[in-house]
Amino acid sequence: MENQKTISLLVKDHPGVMQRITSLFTRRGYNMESITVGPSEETGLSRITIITICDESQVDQIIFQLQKLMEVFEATLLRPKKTVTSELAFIKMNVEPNRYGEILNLVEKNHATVLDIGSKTMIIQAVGDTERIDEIVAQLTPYGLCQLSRTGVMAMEK
Amino acid sequence: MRMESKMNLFNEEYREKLLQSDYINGSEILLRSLLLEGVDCVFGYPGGAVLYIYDAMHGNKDFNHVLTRHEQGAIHAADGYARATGKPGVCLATSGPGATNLVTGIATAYMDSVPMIIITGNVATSAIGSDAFQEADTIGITMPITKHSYQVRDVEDLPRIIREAFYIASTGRKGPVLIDIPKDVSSNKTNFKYPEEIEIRGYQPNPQLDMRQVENLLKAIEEAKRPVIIAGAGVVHSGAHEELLEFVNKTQIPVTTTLLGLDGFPSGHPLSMGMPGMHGTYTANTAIQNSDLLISIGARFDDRVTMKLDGFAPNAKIAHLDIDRSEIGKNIKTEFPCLGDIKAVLALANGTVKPAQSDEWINQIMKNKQKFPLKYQDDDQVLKPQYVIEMINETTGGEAIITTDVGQHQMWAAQFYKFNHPRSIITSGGLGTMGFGLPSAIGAQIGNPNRLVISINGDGGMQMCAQELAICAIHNIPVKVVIINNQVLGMVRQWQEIVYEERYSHIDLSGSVDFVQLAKAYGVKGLQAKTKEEARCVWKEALETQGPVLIDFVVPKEEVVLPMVLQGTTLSEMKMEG
Ligand SMILES: Cc1ncc(C[n+]2csc(CCOP(=O)(O)OP(=O)(O)O)c2C)c(N)n1
Ligand SMILES: [Mg+2]
Repeated sequence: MENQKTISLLVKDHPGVMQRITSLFTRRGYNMESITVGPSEETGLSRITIITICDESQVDQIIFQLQKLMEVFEATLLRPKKTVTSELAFIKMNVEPNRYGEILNLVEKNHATVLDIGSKTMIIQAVGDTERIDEIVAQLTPYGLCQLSRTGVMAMEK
Repeated sequence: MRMESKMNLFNEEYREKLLQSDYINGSEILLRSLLLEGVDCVFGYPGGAVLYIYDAMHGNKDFNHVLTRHEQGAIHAADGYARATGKPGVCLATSGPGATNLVTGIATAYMDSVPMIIITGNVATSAIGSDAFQEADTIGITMPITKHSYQVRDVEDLPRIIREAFYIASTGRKGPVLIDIPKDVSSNKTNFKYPEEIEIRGYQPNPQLDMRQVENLLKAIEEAKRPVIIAGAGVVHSGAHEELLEFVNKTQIPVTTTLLGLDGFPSGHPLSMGMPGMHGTYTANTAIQNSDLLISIGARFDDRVTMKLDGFAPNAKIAHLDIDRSEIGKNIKTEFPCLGDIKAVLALANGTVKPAQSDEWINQIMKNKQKFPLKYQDDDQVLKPQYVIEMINETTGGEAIITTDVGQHQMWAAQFYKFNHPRSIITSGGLGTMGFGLPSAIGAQIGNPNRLVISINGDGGMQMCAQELAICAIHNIPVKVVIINNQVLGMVRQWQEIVYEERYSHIDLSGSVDFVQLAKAYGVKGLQAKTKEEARCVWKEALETQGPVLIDFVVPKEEVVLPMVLQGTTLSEMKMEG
């Protein structure tokens, strides 16, 4: 999307850090499409990826405000052309046994994986950029998609 | 009042004693650390979660604590102390209701970038999250209104956290820092060790000056024909008033000072135009609208200054000197950003700056100053609120520290008191907190025992923290408490008159307390004036009185603050007449 911006943060892994960040977004009325968090290369520090939709001037403001948080060590705007992004999705399907075949075909075609097959449900894992996942979800929906869980986007500059 | 501190930080022996690595509890650690940070007064209120801390104070002759009558009084007093001295104000309250009573005061300090240390107690770490008695999520509640906050989970961390808190509160863009101390942390013991140096990763309070930015600014000034400076709170926070004066004298650029910057530039200077914005002077607002280069020095383009943004300074390029990167360009597109500590930027600029080409412009401004001064309809038979402020100004020669509450009287104080020195106006600008006037004066006076402190209040706001009169009486804090008593919530009435077609809704304060009797009940001298003559007379008496005095000036309710720029309109559309 045109105005979609990816912000990468290096933060202290400390109780309340996520709250400080999300509270900043709420308080100042910034948009937050997704946020992902996990350990970074340095013990005690986490890396957070935030996707936001806003214009150029606002994204600078968001970065400057984030930089003011004491527990945020780095806040950078990732350059789209130099950035790889990906997200993970779990998709639970309600399936009639006679349609397993069709779904497995779709899974294979899309380079997704089946994590679990039960008597009535099946859990599929898909990895890829946002458009890719949207596409897979769209293809699976008519076959009885009943639960979707996405991690949100992770990103890294080359 | 025990205002002179018993301890002397330059007394090495005493410092050594404090620094001794004794095995002491968290409360004693707290007190020692505060003393090591140079704290000479803490404003607070006890309760269950801070009992160990109060126990440690018992019999501690070095530690000075003022018991207010409400936590709101304590935090505003600490705020007033900080604004008047430049040192962080320190405030202490118990968990739950004690902490929530501080919220208004924390937000007040945060909006105006006041350095403060707020210490709250909390339930024991083992009980946190259990809805224990008087538990509140103080950190969560105050997160959006603090520069930073800590919950101390281990007494070992306490000295470092205190050291960091003071550093953070008083560097960069200043602000309140909260330290939440669970009860067990205040009772657990450890060997005291105060860190000499601290390093906070990623925190760069003093941005490196960018020479190119300064050069660009200076070049723009040289080329400017109609330049204007808006000086804000940043000048005072940075201690840059002398540098600003030199800068103005060298560049010959007229200056308008925001509410919080009124004391950053001498109001008697020929190039001073007074306050801009909603109740700004004709000269300042017109100059902004006609300017070709508008230089903000530590002012953040608040909406009460800019009014309708679209149409604000339509012909000006914007320059902005600020220590906070996020303020530059936040509200208005900025051609000449200048990031850094204002004192440092101006000192650097003063080395090479050349005057603007502003002769003609200055002539025009001088004419406006002559033709459109701030004025009001004076009346020999009626005591007007503006007259009272003018009288206070005349009799104190602009030498007093003025604290205000919020409302019409605040604007009149800003307009008619002529400030000469930094740290002389103490007022809630960003948050506009009623109840601020009296307690902030107490803090200002404690921080400046030798200066005259006058607190100017409305009859509404006076009733929001009136209980602190007790502190003035008990400690003989000689604040002169002025009430501009118009028997209404005047500023609300003004809006209802002008914007809501005289539909006066719930603004009537008649039948309020008799302030003179109230003062007396607290043990404070109370005086009242209803005429000009009485006003002169009681004011003289007040100034001659050694201790605290409350003076109730009864004025008509119909008076409005002018000029006024209505919300949604630009600075060009000033309402000049009532
Ligand atoms: C805590 C708080 N509540 C409400 C307001 C809104 N308010 C702003 S000015 C004002 C009227 C103040 O009346 P008074 O203290 O008598 O001062 P005056 O305007 O009459 O000088 C009110 C209610 C506020 N600023 N702060
Ligand atoms: Mg009033």
